[in-house]
Amino acid sequence: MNDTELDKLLNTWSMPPVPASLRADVRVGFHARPERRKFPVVRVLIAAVSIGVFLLAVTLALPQTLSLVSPPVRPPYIVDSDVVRYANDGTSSVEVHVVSYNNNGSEIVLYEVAPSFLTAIRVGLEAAGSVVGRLTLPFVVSPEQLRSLRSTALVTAGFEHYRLGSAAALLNTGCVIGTVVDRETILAYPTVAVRQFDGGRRTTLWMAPDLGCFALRITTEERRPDGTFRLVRKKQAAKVTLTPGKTAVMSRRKPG
Amino acid sequence: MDLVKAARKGEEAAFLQLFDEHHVPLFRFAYRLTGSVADAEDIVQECFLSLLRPECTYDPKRTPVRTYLFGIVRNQSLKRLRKSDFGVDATPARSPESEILRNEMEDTVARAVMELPDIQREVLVLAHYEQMPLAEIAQVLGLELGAVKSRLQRARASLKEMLAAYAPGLERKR
Repeated sequence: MNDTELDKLLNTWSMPPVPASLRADVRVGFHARPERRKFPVVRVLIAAVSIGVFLLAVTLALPQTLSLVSPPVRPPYIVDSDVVRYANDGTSSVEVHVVSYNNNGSEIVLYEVAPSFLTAIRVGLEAAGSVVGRLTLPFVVSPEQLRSLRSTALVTAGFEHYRLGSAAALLNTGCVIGTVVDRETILAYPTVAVRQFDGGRRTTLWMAPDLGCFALRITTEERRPDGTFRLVRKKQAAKVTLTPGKTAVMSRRKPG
Repeated sequence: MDLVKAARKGEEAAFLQLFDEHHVPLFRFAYRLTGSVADAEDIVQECFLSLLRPECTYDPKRTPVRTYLFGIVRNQSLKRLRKSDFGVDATPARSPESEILRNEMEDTVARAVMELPDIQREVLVLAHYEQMPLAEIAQVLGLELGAVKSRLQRARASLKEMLAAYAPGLERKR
């Protein structure tokens, strides 16, 4: 048998007609399909529960891990602040509420409260990342780098962090680490406002020497095309609570 | 706009256009793999509805929709074949008596094709009955081109052997 003869034989196998019901059945199936959800409920629930469990574990571990890497500290005061974001249209919203204090020139965040679910997740992830960073840092940098990092002054405004150089220099100069652009008393504490530029942004920090250079106000502004600046974020202290039996850590301004 | 994308967004017209363009060859393919009209109907229906599911992995940038649909039909057909013994549905009777002999030959050919191993039958059906280029068959089945060619050769050789009695030349020798 040659190929042509085989093809002729194969062609005798005819097809039954496609059932007329097929199109109608497929159409019914199309209308009965489950609606596509933007966020599949089950996955979101699993993710939410996982994050919750993870954050709980981090929360439980936090006091122990902190005491492992640094000696226990009883803050001399705590400051309640709100971080507000400003949109292009001028509207504003509270991004996060922060409770923190300053330890040797670096701001230590005790906790943050987020008004929205998404921000809460971000706060939780950042807290978890901070703990992981604290635990792993000694293993990934040299002892010199670790000493340098720990001696750097750090302030925070919600999800933004600013390094201000040497903490010792900050404290010794009475918080004057740049051009002084303002002096103002905030919540009964005299402050020195210094300004820093970073690309198209400028950040102004009102730091209180009597609170170890804690920044009672921080503003971040972005440069517009016409050269003027637009306020994009502001951290503002709402309350300073002194710890009974403690006195605020003063900056060590050099005499003269 | 891509028909699959539009269908997934809920546009019935796009979905039906997709169905109208592809369902006949897909039905033929499913029927010739399973030998059952009912199975072929179920498989084709399932094939189109699977395109709408969120877990569907179809990517128009990687595969033409026709190739993707043939792949689904092939997988569904093989799944069904593994579950149950196949058999060719009775061919609808043709009333004129002159068709009796033709029916007998048709049934024999159908049974011969169905007796081929699955991996040879799917290649033969796509190449002979669907006239699909070998390169596309390789894509549908996830095979190298060489494997497609050798399977097709083996399938045709087996069929020549099984259907030798029906060859015109042999009939003349009888």
